[in-house]
Amino acid sequence: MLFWISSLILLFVASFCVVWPLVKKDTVVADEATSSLNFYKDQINQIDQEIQRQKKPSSALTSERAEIARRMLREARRETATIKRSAGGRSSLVVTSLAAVLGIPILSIILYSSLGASGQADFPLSARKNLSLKDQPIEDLVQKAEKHLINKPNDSKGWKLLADVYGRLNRPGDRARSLRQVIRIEGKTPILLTDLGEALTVVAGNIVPAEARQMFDEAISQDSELVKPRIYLALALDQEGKSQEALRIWENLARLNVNDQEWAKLASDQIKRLKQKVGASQGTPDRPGIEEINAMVQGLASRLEDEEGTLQEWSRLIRSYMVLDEPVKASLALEKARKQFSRTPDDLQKLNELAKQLKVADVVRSPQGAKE
Amino acid sequence: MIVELGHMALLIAFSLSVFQSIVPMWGARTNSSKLMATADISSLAILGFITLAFGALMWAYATSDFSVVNVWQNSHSQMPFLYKLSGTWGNHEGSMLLWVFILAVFAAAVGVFGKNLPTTMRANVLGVQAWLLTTFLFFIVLTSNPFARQAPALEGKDLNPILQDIGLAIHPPMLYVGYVGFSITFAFSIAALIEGRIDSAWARWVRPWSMVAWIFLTAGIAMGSYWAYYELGWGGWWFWDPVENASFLPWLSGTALLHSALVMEKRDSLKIWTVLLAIITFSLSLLGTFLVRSGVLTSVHTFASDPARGLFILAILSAFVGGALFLFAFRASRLEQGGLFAPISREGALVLNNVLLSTSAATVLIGTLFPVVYEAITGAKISVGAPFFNLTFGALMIPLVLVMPFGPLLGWKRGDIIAVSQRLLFALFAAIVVIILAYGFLERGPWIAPLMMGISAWLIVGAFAELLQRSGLPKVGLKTGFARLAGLKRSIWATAIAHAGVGVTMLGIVFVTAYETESVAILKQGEKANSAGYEITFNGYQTRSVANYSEELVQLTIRKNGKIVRVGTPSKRFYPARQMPTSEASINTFGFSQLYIALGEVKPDNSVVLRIWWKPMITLIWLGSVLMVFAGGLSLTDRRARIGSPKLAKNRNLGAAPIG
Repeated sequence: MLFWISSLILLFVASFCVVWPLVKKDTVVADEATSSLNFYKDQINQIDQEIQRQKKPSSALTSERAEIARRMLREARRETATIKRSAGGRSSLVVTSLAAVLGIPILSIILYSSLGASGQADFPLSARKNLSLKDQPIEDLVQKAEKHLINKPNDSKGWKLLADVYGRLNRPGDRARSLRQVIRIEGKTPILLTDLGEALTVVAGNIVPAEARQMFDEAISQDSELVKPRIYLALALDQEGKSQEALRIWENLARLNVNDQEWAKLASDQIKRLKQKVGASQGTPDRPGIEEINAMVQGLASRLEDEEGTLQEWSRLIRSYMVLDEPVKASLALEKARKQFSRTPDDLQKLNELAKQLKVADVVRSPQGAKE
Repeated sequence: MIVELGHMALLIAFSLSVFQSIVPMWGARTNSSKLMATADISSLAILGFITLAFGALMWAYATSDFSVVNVWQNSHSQMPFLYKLSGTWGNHEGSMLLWVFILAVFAAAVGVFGKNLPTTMRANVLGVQAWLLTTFLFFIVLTSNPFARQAPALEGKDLNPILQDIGLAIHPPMLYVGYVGFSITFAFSIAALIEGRIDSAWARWVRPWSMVAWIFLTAGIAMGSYWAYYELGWGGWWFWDPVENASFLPWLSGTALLHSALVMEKRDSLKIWTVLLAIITFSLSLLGTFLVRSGVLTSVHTFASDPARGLFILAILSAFVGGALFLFAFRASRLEQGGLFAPISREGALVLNNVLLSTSAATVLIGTLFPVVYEAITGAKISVGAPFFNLTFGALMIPLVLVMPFGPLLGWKRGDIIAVSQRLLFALFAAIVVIILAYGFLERGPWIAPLMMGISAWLIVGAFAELLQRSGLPKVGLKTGFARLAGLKRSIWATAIAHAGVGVTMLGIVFVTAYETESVAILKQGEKANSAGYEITFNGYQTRSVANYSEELVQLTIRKNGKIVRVGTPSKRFYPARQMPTSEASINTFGFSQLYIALGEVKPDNSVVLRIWWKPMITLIWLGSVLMVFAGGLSLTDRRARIGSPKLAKNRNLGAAPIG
């Protein structure tokens, strides 16, 4: 509203400026040639001064004076011939005034309505500084933080904060990267190791990779009271088929004196589930657990061999191979997936990101292979 | 809201320009004084609104408002405040707005200071000026709107680092005042052609305007040259870069225009030629704008290469130049011819000046445009480089500077060449002394250099011959002589100083071209290099992070005869937002000469590569320009150039009138 009021004032000023000379009563009828005559008079005056100064005037000066005098006469003659000026015909004044009063504002407003952004407020730096965090686009904040950390790579607080934000944004890969920086600066603490292990696990699609497993072990060895690494260790053991050991951990965890119903429920659910699993596989060694997984992966692989799978299926396969510590198979799967998604750049991009996260190497072909 | 009000103000200025393009000229045709009277006030109003718009954009830059696309693209919240402000015109859109702002300033100035002009002439001049305003505002609004908005961004993309410099804060506005100033002489010419009358009074009105434009153009070019010299890190001060040429072209024809208008004012001749020169000069200014912004040529200056914009500017260029030349062809025959003169006379000398200046302008124009035309026809890329320009332009300048001292000494209508030559004998003597000394003392270098130094000396000393002649020195005795000197018309002083300035610039060019030395040194910490008797020691380097860039800084000590004379810190900067490096040279001035050290690179083994130039007498190049600019200003204060009423001026002159 304030904008439009100000704009109307501006428009009014603009129209008024050009209408004023049109409607104002007294108009001096300008004398066409006065200024030219003045100019010649001035020139002659100058020469006269020069002549006075020299006492014995040179012929050049007198002839110059005569020449200018001739020009002046010519100009004076022209002046009398000039038609006297009028204020201008009434009709033309009316038309012009209307053009000024209506045309200028209308043209301006039409142009503005198609080009301007009347509702948009200014957004200077000072306003941005006072902005509460929740009003800022989070991506901008993150970008800003990243930029800051490029210049100050040893700011561990900054990396920690960033890791938290990435956690909340569900960007586990970036979270892991930030946590590695914190560990680089602060050293290995059990909490940091656990968080990094957690991030790596999430990256791997909730399958605990070998590196994360080591981290949980290390965290527990440093502080056996910590809960989180033990939960993940249980998960890892369970995934490795060592359900018995996982069960033992959960039973220990359940004994913790925590006054929390949800926790109690989670623990008892896990224990129940693991007990069933242990019961089902009673008498069989731990080994088949892995074989089971192997069989599942194999099944998926052969299915993807025959028919076109989705991006998620391919991702799961590649991830599984990495978890099973079969990097060559993972690379081959990655290559096949790339071939399949070669025409959809978005998917390809996601694949490449995944490969980067999991550190899947590209297939190196022998020269013969290249010829094929 | 400020940004949006600025946008609105810009559009109102456009509407007003449309109005001013039509109404006053219609008034001039129908002899309506009221319609004509609108021009004065509307040109002031347009200036007011464009000032608002420009101010709003500057505000957006000053406060880093990245909801404005233009600000977001060319600014950074951590830039020093000065560069935030200068960023306003460090880009295409903003600089176009500055261009139009200056156009409006000149139009308003004609409205305010031009009260002594005939009414129809003033209405027509302001009308033509409004055509220009309308066209360029339309161009801005349509293709280059600086007020376009976007969803707010938190950080800007930074200003081009080589533009983050004090020189750039001043150079473009100066150059624009020069370019745009010639729009007034253009408007005067068109008005004269429309009215079909032109006389020596016209020249009087035009001269101060073209002088103002010329002063700023000279200063702008000189400053641009110095900026390129210290900022680009190549140690060159003139590259015959197409865009440099584009600013040099209107300077050459503008210089010719100043001189021919002199003849016209004094003798009422060369009228048609002067009008044509005024048209050509502004056309060349427009051509410069077109070349910089169209992307036709690539150079350090092409910050906005957009074919659509280029096409638009080409259309503007063709319309104004073509239209003006058509009008000229149609009307020139009706203009009255002026007075006659003998070949050897002041007029004759000024004609020779004009012939040489316009020929050299044509040469530079051909050299600049030939690659473009050649590529358009054959598709092959060629470049016309410094050798072409040095040879052709140099060849044309030598006769010009040789006859320059003669001009002011010759009489109007018919001059006495022998008498004048006698008066110039002392200058010839000075030149010969300089040549002998130069051959004696300067062993290296091309044989032609001492000769050229002699010519420079001839020009510098000869420039003051008129002063000596008028004052009667040394015959009348020192006291009377100096009294007379003090009482001489300022325009005479101005002529002498400006011509001497040309000589000083030339001397600098000759020195630096012939005797410059360049060397590359790879130094480890503590090692030394030598250049022109100076010993440069590398003390070590550091890296640091400053505001919006990081830099590698090398510490040098410069010694002469074992004594420390300077400490140098050449550096390389890196601007992360633009991913661009720049080089900051260490420039050490000794007398008129400079020791120029640029950092090449820091090698992995911590040794540094330094490029070291010895630039003898190089500052004379710019000092000469300073003299020319000063002289221009001086001549503006001469009463004849003043635009005020003759009565007022007469009183002032009486005080200064010389006695005896």
